[in-house]
Amino acid sequence: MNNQDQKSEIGGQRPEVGDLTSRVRVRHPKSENTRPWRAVPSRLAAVSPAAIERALLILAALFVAAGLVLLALVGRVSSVRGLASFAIWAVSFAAAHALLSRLLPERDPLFLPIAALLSGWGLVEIARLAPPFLTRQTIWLPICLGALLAVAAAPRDLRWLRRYRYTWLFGGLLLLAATFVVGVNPSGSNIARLWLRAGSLSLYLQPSEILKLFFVAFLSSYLAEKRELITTTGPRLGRFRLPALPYLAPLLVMWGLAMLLLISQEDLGAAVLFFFTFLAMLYIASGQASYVIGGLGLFLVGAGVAYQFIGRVALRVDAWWNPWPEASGRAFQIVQSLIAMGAGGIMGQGLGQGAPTLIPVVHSDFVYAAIGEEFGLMGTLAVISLFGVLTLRGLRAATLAPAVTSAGVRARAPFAQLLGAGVATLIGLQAWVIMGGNARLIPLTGVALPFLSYGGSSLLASMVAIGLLLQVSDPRLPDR
Amino acid sequence: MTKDRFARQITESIRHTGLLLMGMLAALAMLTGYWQVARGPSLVEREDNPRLVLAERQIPRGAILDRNGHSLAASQSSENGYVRYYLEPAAEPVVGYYSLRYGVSGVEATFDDELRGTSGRTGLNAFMDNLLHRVPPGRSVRLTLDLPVQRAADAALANHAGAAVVLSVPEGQVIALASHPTFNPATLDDDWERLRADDSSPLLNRATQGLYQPGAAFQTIVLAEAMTRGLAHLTDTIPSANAPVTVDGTTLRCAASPAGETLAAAFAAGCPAPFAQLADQFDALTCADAIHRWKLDVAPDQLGLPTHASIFAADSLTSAQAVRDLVLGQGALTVSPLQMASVIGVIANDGRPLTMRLTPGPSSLAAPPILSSEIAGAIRAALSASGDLAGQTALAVGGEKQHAWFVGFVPSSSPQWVIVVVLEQENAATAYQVAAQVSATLMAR
Repeated sequence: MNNQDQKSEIGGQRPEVGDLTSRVRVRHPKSENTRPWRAVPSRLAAVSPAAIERALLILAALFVAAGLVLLALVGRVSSVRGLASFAIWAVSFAAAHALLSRLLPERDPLFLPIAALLSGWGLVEIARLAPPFLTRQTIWLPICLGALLAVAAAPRDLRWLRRYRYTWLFGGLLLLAATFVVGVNPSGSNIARLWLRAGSLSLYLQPSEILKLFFVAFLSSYLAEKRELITTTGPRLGRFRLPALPYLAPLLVMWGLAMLLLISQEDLGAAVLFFFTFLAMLYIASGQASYVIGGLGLFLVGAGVAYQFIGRVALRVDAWWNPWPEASGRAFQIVQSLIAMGAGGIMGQGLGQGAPTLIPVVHSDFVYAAIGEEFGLMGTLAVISLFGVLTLRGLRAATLAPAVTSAGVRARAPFAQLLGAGVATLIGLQAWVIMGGNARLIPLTGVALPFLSYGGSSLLASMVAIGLLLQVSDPRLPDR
Repeated sequence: MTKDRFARQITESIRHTGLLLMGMLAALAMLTGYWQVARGPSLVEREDNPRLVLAERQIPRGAILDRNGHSLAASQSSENGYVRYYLEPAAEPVVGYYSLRYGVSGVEATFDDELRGTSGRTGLNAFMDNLLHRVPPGRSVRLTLDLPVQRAADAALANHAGAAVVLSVPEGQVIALASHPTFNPATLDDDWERLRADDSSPLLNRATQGLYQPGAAFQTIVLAEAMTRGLAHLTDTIPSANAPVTVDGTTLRCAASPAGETLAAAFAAGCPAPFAQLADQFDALTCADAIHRWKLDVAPDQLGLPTHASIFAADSLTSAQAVRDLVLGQGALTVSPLQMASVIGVIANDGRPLTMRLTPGPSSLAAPPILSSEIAGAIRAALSASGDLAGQTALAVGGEKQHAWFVGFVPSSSPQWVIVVVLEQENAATAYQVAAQVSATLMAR
């Protein structure tokens, strides 16, 4: 918040740090990056990140306030509840902004405002589409930002995450496995019991949302250590070198376990997401396009088998390929989603003026279509752009992630790089998968639209992801 | 240095991943644009778009009133928005229906813009209404229909299939326009399939859309044309007026027995024999010209209701036989009751065609006459009877079906209204009775 505070930190005169690190504590040399897409615009560089972040947060606040005022005016939400939600949202992000300025003064200033805008827009959409859920989602917000700050406040070398990768991943898998035993569905339905109930509070946790991040952390940690071995010690096949199975095996086992659990839970969206995140990270770590091609082949085979044997997969694929003959039956949701988007046109019907609630379960699966109807193409393009910028800035932060080697020499940290890239890819991919499902680009899967969909676990995972990106984006060298 | 090489490789791989993700998002953006802009209108128009019905329910649609302000149809707000109520079953053929599923017909369709309140707005108003989702209040539409007369016509038709039309003279206002069988617009959505499949075509407005052989009712035109050309006089003596005439193996007879041996009496009784003789003096050109001048080849569209006219091609009159069939009203030409009302209107209005209208308002300029007032007066005199109701009963034998016509006016001395009745598969006396009941109501007002 306070510029004075910042300067003293940026200046880097922190006496308690050992002299080895203080010697190399200089601002990260940006000029090293010759790629224009990574270059920081010079005008932005002149302004402190905190000031940029503050300005952007104010813009986001104006948007969210305008949205809630509009909904209160048209009687979709009571003024008191709208005001309370806005206040909690605003205070949460103001506090996060203030604390982050101390914790990570040189963080990328775009992450927090984008998270604020999207989650605030999410509150507006929930107030619009499912008003009874507004309170619950609002309660989640400070919890999620607490988690974000906890991650941001964690030691900068992220050793806690790197060293105990198996512990974290098994913890996540255990939580997921627990849903087989004590899983519930908050809507009371008996079919997809993917949630865990947190005590007597009516807050539900969906372990697969949290597991995704543990999985990315696990992959980053494992690949950072073993990627050279995987790519260089494998058997040769003509010109190609196959991956070294002994080093790849633990990875495949962990991944297979996750996939198995998800598929047996019929959480197919999450399974698809895991698969492609895995593939992307394998590619980033190895640079081998052949892995991607092989993975895609595997995916197609798996999808073909699933199409044959899992009724829900066949249903979703059929409804995607040609929804029109079954517009009133199996393809009802997707056709109604497209009609809603068509009804929005370029300018949209106006918030609270359309009829997006005609789409079944619009507040969790079809928020994108609802935005398309009420905010029009301008709204959908804004959402796509926000996720695009978030993903690009995350990937950019990953390429710049600094670290100190054992010799005390400044170098890129493979773990931080892989973690940042993995998290950014995960967010971008997840957003694309559900938005693409809404727009009939790909078959519909029931994953949440990060920040925007109703759901506490999804919000929690998204905020923790932002916390990790913030960590990675601060170019100061981590404490050893 | 290997560390550097790996750092570069990771940077490159991340860049490729970023490019791929941006490409995927770009594809999503383009597809979204396609649905929202290029396909938007066609998606919105889909029948399974509930928005259309929801939007319709928000419209406080104007009422439809008869000439004295009696409500024929009105909208009332309910929990689910506005609901349309139909208060006069007798007026249905004119009022039509307003269905969220099947659209609009009749006056509901003709004056849809007024009833919805979207007519008469400035471009700016319409734009602002659209932007702010304001629903303009609908406006009521007042018709020239006279509810008691309409009820009488509807009651007189009873369970006969047919139609009855009453126009005022000289204004041309539609006083009554009945058609049977009809339907109940309140239960239209449920009855639709049955109504569509029904052979008796209850959704058809027979008064404006029903096309019938004119039969002897066509004699009015033949007589007027013959008198104008000096080919016939009403005082001509016709010795064997009630002699049967055979057309295409069908025997035509008088609709009633003639009250004398003059052409006037034969005409009033709808006898075919004298006109079969007159037919020899007509040629194709004269017939085509007459049909055109009496506007039987165009649909009378002044009312805005859906109207039909037969497609009459003058060059189909290639033989004397075709001309004879036409003159006897058994040829290629078919007419609607509304067209026949227009024909008798010329006679009742001293040779000037009526300008038909469904809403009151300033009367338009009188149309130029197509018949001299003397001949019109003479024909009126020929049709006059002792009572108030004057006119001609006529039969038409088209195919296996026989239709009965009554074409006339009330009161006989100085016509204020014209009445046309057509009944399917009935005799001429029944048609006359229907007209008499309507006439009694008219005279009682």
